[in-house]
Amino acid sequence: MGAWKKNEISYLRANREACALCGHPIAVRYWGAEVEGAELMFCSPEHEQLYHDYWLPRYGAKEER
Amino acid sequence: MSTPQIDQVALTVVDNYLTSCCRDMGVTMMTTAYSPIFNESLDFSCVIFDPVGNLLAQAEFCPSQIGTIKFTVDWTIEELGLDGFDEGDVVLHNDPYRGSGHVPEHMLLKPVFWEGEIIAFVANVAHMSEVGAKTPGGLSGDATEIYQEGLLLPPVKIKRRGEDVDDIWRIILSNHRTPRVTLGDFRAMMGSLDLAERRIHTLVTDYGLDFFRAASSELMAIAERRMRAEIEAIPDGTYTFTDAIEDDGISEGDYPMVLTLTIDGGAVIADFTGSARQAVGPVNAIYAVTASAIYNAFLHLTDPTIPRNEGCYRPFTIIAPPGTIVNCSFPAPVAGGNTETSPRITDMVFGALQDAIPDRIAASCGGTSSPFLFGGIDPRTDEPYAHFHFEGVGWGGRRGLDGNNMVVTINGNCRNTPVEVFETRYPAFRIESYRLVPDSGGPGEFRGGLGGERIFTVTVPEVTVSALLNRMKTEPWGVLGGGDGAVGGLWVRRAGAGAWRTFVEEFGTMSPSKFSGVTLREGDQVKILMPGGGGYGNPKARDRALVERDVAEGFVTEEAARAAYGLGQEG
Repeated sequence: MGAWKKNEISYLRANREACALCGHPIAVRYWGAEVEGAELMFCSPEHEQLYHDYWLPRYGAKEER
Repeated sequence: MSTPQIDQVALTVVDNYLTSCCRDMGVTMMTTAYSPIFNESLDFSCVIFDPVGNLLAQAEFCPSQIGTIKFTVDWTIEELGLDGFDEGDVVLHNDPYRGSGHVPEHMLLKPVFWEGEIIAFVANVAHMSEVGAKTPGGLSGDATEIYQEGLLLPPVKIKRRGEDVDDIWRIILSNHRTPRVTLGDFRAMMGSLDLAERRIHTLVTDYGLDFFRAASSELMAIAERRMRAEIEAIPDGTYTFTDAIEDDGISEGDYPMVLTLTIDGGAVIADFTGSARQAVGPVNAIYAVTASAIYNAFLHLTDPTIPRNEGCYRPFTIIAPPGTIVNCSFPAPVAGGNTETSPRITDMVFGALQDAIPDRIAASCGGTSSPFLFGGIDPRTDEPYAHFHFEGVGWGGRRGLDGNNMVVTINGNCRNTPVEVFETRYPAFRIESYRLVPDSGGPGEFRGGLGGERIFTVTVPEVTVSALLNRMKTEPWGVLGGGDGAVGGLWVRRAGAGAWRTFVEEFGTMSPSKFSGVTLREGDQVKILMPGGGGYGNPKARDRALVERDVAEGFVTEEAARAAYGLGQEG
């Protein structure tokens, strides 16, 4: 079961977080959900669903993003 | 509070009012800005959003900017928070790694307040002609990190409660080579926002806030329903297409892009998994640019009367793996992603769907904005000048129509700069010729549009030039039996020399079409060749009268008419 969460904007980190499905950079608000033991960040619950329905069947969880 | 019932006529009035407001914002910018890239090229876009970042209205501006600005505004609202805005604020933002398209495109965003509450945001985005990059005009064709592409501005207030934030202005004006022009162009953008704010106040005064909100919501719902209905008309299935960006200004290798398009009822998944890792040079697209290119493609393929708002975009999921050429990671350079990679992605959608909806798609366009940047010191005034010059290309043929000749590429919807304006505003060059190139359009039942050629001569002691062109090696592809369009090219002829040479041959640049900071001197000449568009359908099926007309008009030579179209071989 996922939940809406907030990411902290930082100007000290070079890395940007991205949606685990689509790759869209996440600014502040994101949908956090546990998938196979790891918490992943998504743009929305719809993208979490697509991760299960579209991404995993095609590429599996280990596909390099 | 009850939700007002709104009839279709009222909805149409509101939609047209908001669209008209965006158009008028553009007229304000066109007529009051300082630089030709605003006045002539119209390289800007104007939009209206609701308070949570849903796009309410746009007009006929630059497709790549309109798709991208959704992400720029989203990021800005998220980062600052609605409580972070005060009446009279104007926020400036151009950082691609925070949602902007590329560094030259600066977005200004203004909240519209009504009785102490934000009821909308008005925004515009424009390509500034000078941005403090490693070379004049930005778009350095051999940049290897984004810091070389100009001054990065995350969301910052350039106006606070109606007053200029002088510290921000000082930072910008001390980094841009042409501060006077930057100031004038930003003021034009601000005037445009003020106009839109007044127009929205007028609408709410006349119709009420509840009506405005309800109409906005319903217009987005209508757009979504209509877009989904259009997508449902495309046969369900998975469609693929591969294309490649040729060299990145740093190395010679190609960068393949792989698109897997899944149509499932009224939804689309555009998946770029399998595309090349990001390039070292500046041909990378950020996520927003890639998404924008997909939106652009489907807006071309669907009913143009669908209201152009957030609802249009809801059916789409764009999957662009981070670290690839279609969604590069910080701090990769991105200037050409918006000018070169974006139109190629849009064309890839057409290529993927050529068998599914052959009556709607087009062959590849020339696929480059042909960015040619230059700058220096104006000997007439001793003031710096800089310009981002771009060109048209041939567009792909499509069912029933030949491709457009020399129109700015499919992601741009901009105009070229007239020769007279070019020569008047900039002291560096005299235009020797500007013409269509025969046989550059790919043969087809519906011919590809023609590319062009421009030759100019340096008229000042020295000028610094940069370039970031594509489609110089691989032809714009034809579809359904149509032939490929001609590639472009870029050459230089030094003063007094007889032969045209590539920039590789003359200056030792790595790429013939992507470089920066080359110094040309008085009397040197540059020739830019712009690609043609791909052809659609079997050329032998082309109407004989049209082939004869093409020959008479000089669009197709007699030799090509015989070879490609079989003219004279009938019967």
